[in-house]
Amino acid sequence: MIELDNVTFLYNNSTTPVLSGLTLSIKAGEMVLVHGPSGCGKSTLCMLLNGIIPNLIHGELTGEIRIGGRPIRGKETRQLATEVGMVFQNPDNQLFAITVEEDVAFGPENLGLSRSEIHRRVDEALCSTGLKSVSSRQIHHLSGGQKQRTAIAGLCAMKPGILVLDEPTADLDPGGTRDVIHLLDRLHREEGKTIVIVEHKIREILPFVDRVITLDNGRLASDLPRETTDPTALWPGYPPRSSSRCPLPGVILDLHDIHYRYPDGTFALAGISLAVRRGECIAIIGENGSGKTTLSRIIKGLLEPTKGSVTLYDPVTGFIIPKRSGRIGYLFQNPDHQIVSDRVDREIAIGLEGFLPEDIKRKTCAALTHVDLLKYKDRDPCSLSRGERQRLAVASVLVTEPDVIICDEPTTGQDYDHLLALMEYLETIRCQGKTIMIITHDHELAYHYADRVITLHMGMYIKEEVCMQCS
Amino acid sequence: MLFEYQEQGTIIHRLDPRTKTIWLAVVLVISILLRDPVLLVTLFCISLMPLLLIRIPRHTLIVLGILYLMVAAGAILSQALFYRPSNGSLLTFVWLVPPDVPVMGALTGGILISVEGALYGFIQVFRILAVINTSAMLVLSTPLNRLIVGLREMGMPGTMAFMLTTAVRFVPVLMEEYQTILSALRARNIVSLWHPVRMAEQSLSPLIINVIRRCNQLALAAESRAFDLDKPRTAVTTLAFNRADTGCFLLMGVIVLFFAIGSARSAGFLA
Repeated sequence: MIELDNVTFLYNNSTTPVLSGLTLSIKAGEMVLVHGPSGCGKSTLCMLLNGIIPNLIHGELTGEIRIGGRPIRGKETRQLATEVGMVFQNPDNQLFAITVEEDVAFGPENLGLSRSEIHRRVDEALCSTGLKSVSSRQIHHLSGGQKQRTAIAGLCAMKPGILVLDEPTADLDPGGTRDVIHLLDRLHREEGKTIVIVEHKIREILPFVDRVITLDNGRLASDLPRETTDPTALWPGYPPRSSSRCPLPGVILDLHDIHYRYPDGTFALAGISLAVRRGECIAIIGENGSGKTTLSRIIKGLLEPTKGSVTLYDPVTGFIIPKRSGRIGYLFQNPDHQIVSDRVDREIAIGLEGFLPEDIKRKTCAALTHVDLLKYKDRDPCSLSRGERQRLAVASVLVTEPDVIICDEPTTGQDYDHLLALMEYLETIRCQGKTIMIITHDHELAYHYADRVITLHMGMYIKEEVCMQCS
Repeated sequence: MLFEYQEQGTIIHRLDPRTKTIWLAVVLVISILLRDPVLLVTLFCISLMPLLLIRIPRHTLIVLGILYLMVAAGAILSQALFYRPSNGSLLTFVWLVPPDVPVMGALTGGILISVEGALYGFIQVFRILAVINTSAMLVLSTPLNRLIVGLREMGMPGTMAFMLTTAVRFVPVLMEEYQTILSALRARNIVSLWHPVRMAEQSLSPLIINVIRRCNQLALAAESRAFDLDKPRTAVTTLAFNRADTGCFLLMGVIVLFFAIGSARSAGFLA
């Protein structure tokens, strides 16, 4: 049983409490989804339950939190580990050992259990998470879903009654997401674990939970059983598209018989041909390893195809552009991989080398205004939220005025409002004649925003669907 | 990764990591102490044997070969250029780049190398390569987890072993991340080989920031899994010496004795 009684928490160096007077209780054996917009206090709630807050992340905490009827105030996180297990978003940031088996043993080893007991628990946890067959595998050879299941197995081996998961599937593909959710469902049904999960993939998780708690601005907005929860209230879907969003005539990008083979000889792509029109939005979908990212990197010019060619045409004159790289913008999945400056405005200006200073200033201001970051122009990008950093990355790509923009997994870790804002922004620039290519696992997003959806499977082009009839 | 453990099941693979670590220490000490060129070549040949026994994949062998050539070239050239005997004996100099060679000759006024220095460098190569052979054998034939357990059982503190394991575990993760950052820089056309300092700054800044973020999350995850609890920690992986290890220790003793006698002879202590 988890009980929060009038809990308020204020982070150090902050003036607004992230949780305000939160009172709720979760019964033993319940599976609860915690939902709400970014910044509403979901992660703070998770970290309060296992004592990370206020023991390791400090701030002002009032009210009382009880686990199993006992207050947890004064208990350290490591002491709570046998009662509450915590799974974080990025599986890579919570696994310590080199092999799966060793990582699962890490917690029981810390508890100082006997060797025979550790072996028994590790075996049990590996069986219950379906990882027995990969127990001796090195962790860096696992898929994202397997890594996250290893993290869960590591917690199961410590036998906590409660599992708290903060966006455990955010970095996973649909297969990995399905595996993790089914595992949680099994742990909940068969082993009676109490599960508290923060998740943006509402459609996937909703059928398995008992209750949905919605937070808003640090307060309890609603607390409803699943049966009475309206799924559309949690995930309203994408807004309707206007008919004016049609591609313009004329091919801008032509891919002819693209093949790519990795240095070790395995094929990543085989015979991909595609003609993309100006102002068109194309989505490329497919499971992990299907060649989506390899194809997009070939289009950008980051990889050279083993065979075949990519041709970019000037949207105005129709002539072939010999050096296409500068005319194609590429938005990486993780904005932190492409942000290099220590100031927001410098981050934009870095791509404008060669322009006159006044032009740089004007273009930087315009780009930051577009993504609503002008007010932060003097700030260090590290101090921005993930959504803001993603918008900064978008602005830094768009300021160079590319003809084609490739977005690799724009939905990762984004809540509904931020995702919608990003997609609406991409729609706006598409209406201005830019071509958009989206690499995604989110089929709903692909079929909603794209004019054509291309499905890749094991490096081959298997399906093309036209989603919108254009006149 | 290239110098990663390769599962082969040879006798060397089955040895306790501590035996192989002690063998590395023995080779290191002998290679430092030996002066006699013949003995150094012998040490190199002995150190090569376990490496040949572990059946290295072809591509690793090619890389090792290239590494050997680079080490040899570097050692010979540097000694040929800078060798100065401590007893002040005369050296024989030859032109590496005569002054009349266009550009290089004119710029440098000619480059002289000493024959004795080149020979001295050639002998040093065997000293270095003996250590490389043994290190490569250790890394290629020992799973990292067992290697770290071995170090821990040889007295390395538990927290340091944990740090080492975590660091090793994150090498491929960080390498992948660095490649992605470089791709992102190339995608924005802000990578310039003509500005190496700026390029290093732009590629390392995001890497360092991400590493700091990652470390912070790792610390939280470690605490959440009861790391550093006020109880003695159990080590589930343990090591045990077997008969092959005993044989190896005996062999090591013989080898040490052989080099001790050989060195004493070459120094004139034994007839």
